[in-house]
Amino acid sequence: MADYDVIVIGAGCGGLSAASILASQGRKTLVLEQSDHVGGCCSTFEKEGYHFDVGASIVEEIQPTEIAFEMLGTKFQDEVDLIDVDPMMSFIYKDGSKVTYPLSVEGTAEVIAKMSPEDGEAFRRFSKYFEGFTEVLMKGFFVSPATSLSDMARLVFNTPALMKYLPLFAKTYQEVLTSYFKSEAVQRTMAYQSLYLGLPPELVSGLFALLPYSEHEGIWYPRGGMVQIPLAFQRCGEKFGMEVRLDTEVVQVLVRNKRAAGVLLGDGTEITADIVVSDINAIKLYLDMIPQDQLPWLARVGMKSYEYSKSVPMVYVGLDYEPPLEAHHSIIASSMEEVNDYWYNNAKKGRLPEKMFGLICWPTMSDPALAPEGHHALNLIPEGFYDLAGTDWDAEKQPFVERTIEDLDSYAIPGLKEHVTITDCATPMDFERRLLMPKGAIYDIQEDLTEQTIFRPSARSKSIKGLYLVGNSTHPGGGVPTVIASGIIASKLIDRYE
Amino acid sequence: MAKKDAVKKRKWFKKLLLVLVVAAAIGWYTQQDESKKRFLKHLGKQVPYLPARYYA
Repeated sequence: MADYDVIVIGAGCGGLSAASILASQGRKTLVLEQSDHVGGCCSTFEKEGYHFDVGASIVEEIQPTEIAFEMLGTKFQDEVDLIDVDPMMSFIYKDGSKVTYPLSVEGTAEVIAKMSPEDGEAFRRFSKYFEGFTEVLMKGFFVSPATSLSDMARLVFNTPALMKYLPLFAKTYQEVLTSYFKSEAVQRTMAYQSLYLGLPPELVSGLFALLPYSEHEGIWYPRGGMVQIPLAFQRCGEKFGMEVRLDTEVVQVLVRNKRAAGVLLGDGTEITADIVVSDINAIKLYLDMIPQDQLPWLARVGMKSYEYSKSVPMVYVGLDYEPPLEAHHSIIASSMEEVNDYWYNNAKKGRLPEKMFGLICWPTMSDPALAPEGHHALNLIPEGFYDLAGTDWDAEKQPFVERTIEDLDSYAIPGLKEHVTITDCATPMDFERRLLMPKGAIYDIQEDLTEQTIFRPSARSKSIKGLYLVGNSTHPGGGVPTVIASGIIASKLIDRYE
Repeated sequence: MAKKDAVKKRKWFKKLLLVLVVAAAIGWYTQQDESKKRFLKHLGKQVPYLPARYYA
């Protein structure tokens, strides 16, 4: 008899949501986490009284999270104190001017109409169209398995409204947005978001043009930091007997007769289980942690063919003043051409951009208690890829932090430089080392059409029986709500097959 | 004999159809702007991996 019914490798949101649901179904479940805290990229750390989120900075599209907590017999809002985030986003132009979109679609349409009257009306049409698309996605796609052609057929059969949005497959993100919005100033508020998928606007599928709309459905910040979400899953799971062991590294998945049989720890201990759920990068799992003679050659070829999503450095800054920003999230407004150009001439060539562009998170706008009184915390997420030409991140780290602060001080956040009290930085190399994310790819495998659904590593392994995948690597992809959805999907599959 | 002719015709028709489809696809591709061509090339490069990814 095995030591556990289920072992989950990794205590990220995907691992903990799957583990807690499985524990609630009466399965004896153990979660093994290599670091000293839960949450992975969705966690929060403290430095000199300031609390910084490691990676994820807000929560949106909360329907999968609500479903997960309902499966645990509770409510998301009862477990985590969610602060409404409004305005939705602010955009900072190169001349220092700012445009801020409120959460409401109508309010945003009015702001856009001031820049371009016809685009204001276009935003209403755009939002109506993508509101329908989001509803369809949330109903089925996000929380349904997509491991086989029959799963896909079932998905389409159960949500026939998906067919209405098929034309988006043949278009690019850039095409969809430029077909709605004619003003470059407006386009500048929507181009950068394509990089969430790890690709520039001209290479991302038109399906993802929903991104500039999706946050208008609502965004929230958990009081106390992003780590409150995985902590809530841990708390709920532990009520059902789920165990979590921190500082416990898994080095191998035990496979007997092509069936997962448990795990081997770094200290040589073997723990057996009937089912193993992996919340770590699928490529690392299959190529480093499973005996290769147990894998079909086609699975090895498939794993080696995936491309990684983007990596980013995160610069954490403590301030002794209130930064002159207008929203929890601000983006350096960039045109479609600038983001495409960044992709080809910087990212692909390993050259850091001369001017910082990316995302600025201001968590203490929503939750002032995350910094000492009168102080604030910022998470700067400038663009910067893992592979740098002729150097590496260990050498570039400090100059990069200084350059980023200097640059933002010059137009985007006046006074920033002289009010910095502390800084810290996690480079893509740090993410790789601390969170075991190959190439520091925060969204894991790239998210284009050829690496989605049935072409993404399967949530139910096709090579090893009893092995299931959750997290960024598998369907529906990278992000907090999506990895929680993957936990729901894994629990459904385990319920169906085990 | 008539049966052989019918089979030959069918084969010829299939080839013609294939040529027409390929020609239409090439025609459509050449009409796209450079940005769309880069998108299609990007996806096209991944297509050979799809069978292996399906089994991953």
